[in-house]
Amino acid sequence: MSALDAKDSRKDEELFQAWLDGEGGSFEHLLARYQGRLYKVILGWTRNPHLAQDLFQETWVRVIEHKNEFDPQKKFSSWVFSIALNLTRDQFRKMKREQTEPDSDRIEMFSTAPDLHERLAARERMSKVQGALSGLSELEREVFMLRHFGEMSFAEIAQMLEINLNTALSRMHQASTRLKKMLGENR
Amino acid sequence: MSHENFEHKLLQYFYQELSKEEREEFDTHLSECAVCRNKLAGLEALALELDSVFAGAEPWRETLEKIERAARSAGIEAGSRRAGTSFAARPRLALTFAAAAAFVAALFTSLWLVFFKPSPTDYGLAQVAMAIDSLEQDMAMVAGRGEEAYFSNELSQLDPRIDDSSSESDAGSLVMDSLESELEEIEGISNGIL
Repeated sequence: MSALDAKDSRKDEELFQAWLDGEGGSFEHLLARYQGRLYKVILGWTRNPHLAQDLFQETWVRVIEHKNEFDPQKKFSSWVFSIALNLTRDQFRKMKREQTEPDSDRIEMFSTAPDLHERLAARERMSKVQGALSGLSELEREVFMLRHFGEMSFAEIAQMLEINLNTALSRMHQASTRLKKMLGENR
Repeated sequence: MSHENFEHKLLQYFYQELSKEEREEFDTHLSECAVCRNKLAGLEALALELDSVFAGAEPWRETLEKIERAARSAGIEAGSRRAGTSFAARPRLALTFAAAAAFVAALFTSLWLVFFKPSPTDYGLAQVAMAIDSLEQDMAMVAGRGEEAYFSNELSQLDPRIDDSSSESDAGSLVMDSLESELEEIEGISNGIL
């Protein structure tokens, strides 16, 4: 939770409605609440920071453009992550058509550590994680990132992906097992 | 409880999705099962590794600023529509709209003056065209009256009670007068143009 977000205890849906009603600052609160979660989820799906930036921005552009289509009876998180997921899937379909792959060499360092060795170590770790995530099936990756970084419950993920709860849990179990194995082998 | 159920419970336990009773029950199981404890430790290590690697992953500042700008402009629009915000409550917005309206009006006026305002010659030709149209209509009327007079004459031969020839001839002279004045008008306009 960011410092900005800590000042507002309202639910996401209430903040979104406040923005629609013209309340200044409410959208910034909402964005601050989601920027880390959503970006990490998209980054995990794409394994490409540049693509993740584009899809992150496009997701919010869609939220803004389709603001009146949000159903206040539903969860804002499910809506935002659904938009991001659809955009990511569309992007992958497009890349498949054009026979391009997410560029695995374009890893940017997330670490802001001033020490060069620390930054290199971070880069190496990221590379391993990226390789491990690439070894998962699309559904495994989707479920894993939504649960771990998106902080969505398994029930919400099942509903969003239109699968049953046991399938969501099974995919999470498979993803965790494979990631542990792949990262353990690389240690 | 099946093996698969234990795996699922372990995940729900780790992500704190179990109810209080379920959690207590699973705590009891963990205290007795070394395999599940190991699996839980594996999950914790994986989460730690991923959290560490993704810790610095953030969207760029400029990306966030672009989104915030888009939201601000869309928010003003949405707010004024939904909450019925008046221009009186938003003087800056009112000024912006007024300035935009004045600019558009000035632009259209300039364009009209430059491209569409008819020249004196165009104006005179338009009047000539209108006068010619009027003349054609009158001539058609004269022709019509002539046909009517012919049929009236035919009928009067069949029935002596029908005789409108005197009134037809009066109408004809009136129409001719009108034609003459219209021709004079056209001549006047043409002289003005030339």
